[in-house]
Amino acid sequence: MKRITIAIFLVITVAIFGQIFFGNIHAHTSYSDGRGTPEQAFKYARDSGVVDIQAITDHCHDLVYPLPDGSMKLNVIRQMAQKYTVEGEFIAISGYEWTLTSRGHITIYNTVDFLDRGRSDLFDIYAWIVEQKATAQFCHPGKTYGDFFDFVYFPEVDLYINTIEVGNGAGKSNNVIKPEYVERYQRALNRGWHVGASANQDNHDENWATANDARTAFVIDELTTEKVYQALATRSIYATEDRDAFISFSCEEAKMGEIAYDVPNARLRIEYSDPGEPVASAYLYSNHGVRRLDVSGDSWTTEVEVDNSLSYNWYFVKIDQIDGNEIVSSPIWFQSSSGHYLLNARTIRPRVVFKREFEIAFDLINSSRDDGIFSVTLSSQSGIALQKEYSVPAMTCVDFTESVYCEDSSLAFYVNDELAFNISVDFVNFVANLDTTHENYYVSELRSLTDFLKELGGEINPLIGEMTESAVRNGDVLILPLPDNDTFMKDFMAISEKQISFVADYVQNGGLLIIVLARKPITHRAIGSYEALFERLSRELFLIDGGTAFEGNREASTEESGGIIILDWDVATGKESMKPVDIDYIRTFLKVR
Amino acid sequence: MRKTLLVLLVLAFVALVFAAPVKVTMWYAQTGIYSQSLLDIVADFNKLNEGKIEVEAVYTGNYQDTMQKLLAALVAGDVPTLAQIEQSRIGQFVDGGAFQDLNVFIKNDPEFAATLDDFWPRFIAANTYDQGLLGLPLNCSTPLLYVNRDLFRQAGLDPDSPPKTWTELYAVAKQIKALGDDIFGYRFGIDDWLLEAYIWQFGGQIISEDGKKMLIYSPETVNAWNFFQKGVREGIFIFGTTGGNELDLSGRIALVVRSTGSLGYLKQNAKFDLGATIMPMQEKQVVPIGGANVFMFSSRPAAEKQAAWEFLKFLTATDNAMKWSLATGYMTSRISAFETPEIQKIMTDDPRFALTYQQLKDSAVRRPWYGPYPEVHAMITSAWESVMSNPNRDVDAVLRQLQRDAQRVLDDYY
Repeated sequence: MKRITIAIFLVITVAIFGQIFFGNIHAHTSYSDGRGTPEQAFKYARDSGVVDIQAITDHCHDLVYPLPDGSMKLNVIRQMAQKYTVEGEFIAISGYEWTLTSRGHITIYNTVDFLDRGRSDLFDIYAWIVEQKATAQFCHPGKTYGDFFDFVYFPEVDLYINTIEVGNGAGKSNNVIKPEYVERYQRALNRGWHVGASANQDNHDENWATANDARTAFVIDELTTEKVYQALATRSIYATEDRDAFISFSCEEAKMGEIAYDVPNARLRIEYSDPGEPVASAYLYSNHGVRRLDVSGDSWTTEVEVDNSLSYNWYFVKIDQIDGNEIVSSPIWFQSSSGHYLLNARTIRPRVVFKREFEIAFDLINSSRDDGIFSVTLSSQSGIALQKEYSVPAMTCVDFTESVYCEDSSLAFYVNDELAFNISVDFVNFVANLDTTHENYYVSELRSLTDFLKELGGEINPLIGEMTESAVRNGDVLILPLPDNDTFMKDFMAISEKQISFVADYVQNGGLLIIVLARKPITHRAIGSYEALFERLSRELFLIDGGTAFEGNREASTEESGGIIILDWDVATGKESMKPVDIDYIRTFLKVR
Repeated sequence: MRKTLLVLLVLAFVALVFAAPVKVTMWYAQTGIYSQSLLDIVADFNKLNEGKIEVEAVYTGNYQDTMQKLLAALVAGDVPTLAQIEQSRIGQFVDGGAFQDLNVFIKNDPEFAATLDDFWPRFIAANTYDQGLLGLPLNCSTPLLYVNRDLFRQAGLDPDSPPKTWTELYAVAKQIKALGDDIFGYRFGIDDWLLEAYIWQFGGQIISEDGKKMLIYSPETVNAWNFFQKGVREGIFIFGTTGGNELDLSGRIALVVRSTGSLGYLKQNAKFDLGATIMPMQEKQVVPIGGANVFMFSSRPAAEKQAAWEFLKFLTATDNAMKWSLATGYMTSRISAFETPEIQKIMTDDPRFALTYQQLKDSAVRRPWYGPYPEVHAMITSAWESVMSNPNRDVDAVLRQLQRDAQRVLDDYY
């Protein structure tokens, strides 16, 4: 019954959208680190009856070595692909996997030659793909193998790398679509890549296409080599962990995988059918956020109105079935026909200090064939924060960084009067550096002090490794706890001459220094360096009792340019409360009430 | 002598009358290029000994799986003739007298005996037990300190003066760390042989000479573990149980200790200026010999063992030792293989490859091997992981507990 229903459903949809064929376009044999031969693999996949399309993509660095009879492995893979392809019945694809872990792995299809990782870095393989006009795919993107330098964007390469694995794995479980891959998929889309979603098994055993149910669904009207490559190029695919779930994603202006131009509003249409397997939840992902779809059951159609307010918008669908299997569609893009986009806008520091200039960076993408002038405006409610013209050569993406001043947190970028990107700035009142580099790693002990500063709107920035001049200068507060006398690495307690000098300069130039006195008397000679710091600060303050106390009139000293606060260990760690005069002083100094 | 004659006669008889070759089975524990290189040597041997001896090499899973299968086979009485076993996993076989003393063959084989001192002496020492010489070296290595020279330069450090002690390494790591939030001075994980190295280098010990007493809870080991935990707590070092390759290649790690065998892999993949040097010391200059040796099981029939001996000699002969080393990146087992033009060329082209031999000569020792050690080192690893993944956990308390728990395992065994 189930089969009949699907059959009927498919007949209807085929008429409109094309047919569904299944493929596994990432797999290995003993020509690299897998098992069996390409011939065995193609034969096995063909006879398995579960896929219509199988690619063999052995690792580049193993293809370098010829076979015992002297023939080149890639040539044999190509011959076998040719031998096992029967148009209309089974499509065998030759390919290889460029495998440079830390950059990322890329499968590249149907090329005569290959480029080894030993002779290339990421941008070399990009150039090679463009030169060969090859069809290519980002594989298992993420922490383990690499994310292509955070998907730095090249418009010309974007024409050839058209798919990305949101699913990868040859385990027994169907669960190959992982949150990390889906997250990286969105990151690629946000950087400008036009990639569709695939799921492949990356087999290393003799179980090509049969390790689990994961596969890439191809939406094409007939099973031919030409149509398969066309589907990859136009992203007419989706990733599925289910053997036979059917989805369709479209709108009046575009089908799944396509780009529609100058469409301010659209009605997206999503269809799902898998008799007996209802959905648990379904979501519409986009660069505007994630929206849950109000759907249920094992066969449904829904429509969603979307407002394409930016010059660059993307949408894809993710469906979670009740048995845990997931399905991820390729996107539909709505873009301005200008070919001029601004993406990836962000503040250089995740949080920026309020009422102070800050750096903001963005990518300008010119995906047209002509050099372009981008007139960029950054505006907020209270006015224009930046207005500037940039020239961006044809088919390039250029990263720019600018210093801006603005007191509104909601900012909008316009390119040639088109709204391109919205950004929200996360403001803080000040930055407090906490030194941890002098055997004084007290991040948890000093929580009482740092919480107090956070309440005043500050951001706490632990200095790790070395206390550098630039880090100190970039902060408004420097917390310097005296070292732990019990440390087993006493050679690292002292503060250097150079550090004494720039800390003194920092205070002289208006910075606030909070010194936390030692928990226990310091008996090591390193105490001398802190005494020297006090001397250098020249406020008539002196460390005594091994750094557990001080002498001198601290209040008098605060009349000078910068500020100095000295706290007992018990005060800084919250065992005793801070003196009101110190609280007042810090508040006044940081101009917060 | 008489016995040997008899064996030879039996061999000849079997070969001539039945024309059935003596079958030797070897279990091995590596895949990929390692497996391929071994199988190539086996094929060469079989061709040379056609009709007389036939060696069948069988992959039996990784080191741990192979040990488990061998233990099961020992109980069932169907051990193979030869097996590749990782150094720290041989204790139960040695204690049970499962291995053949190879001196029995060497005594009757003056030609081979004359070349025994051609093996690196520390490899022979590492295979010598109360019962005699029990194994011959196959895939051995020592750990090296790999350096991202670009990060050194960026931090204003001299890449030609990498740290020689752990304290120096900490100082360097602090400066490297200042380069950025996601940059780390040193990366480490749970590799058991490196845990042994850390403890020894800080002056600690793991287990007594006779294998009966745990010595791991000592001020020296507490110092060692506190040192690494401190680096993680302060964000200067990075600890992880997975993802090591990616991190090491990412360009975000200044220093990492890995096997000599990783040099080829790192050279090919790393897109930064890669340096290598000997492992840092602290109280002592000492490194473990990693990898595996080949052992023969004494319970097999004499004719089979004699045939296996022929294969062992072939496997470790200069030419094959050289080929194996060239293909896999492991150290040569023999000095004469090291001195071949092929291996020397590697050293000339890249002096980093010579470091491991220097280290072998100067400071390499056998890893602990006692019967219950596999269980004990699993406990050490898990204790290590618990203090490194939670850098506020009390090292002293964890080590004290580990000492008690591991001692119980030793007491139960003996």
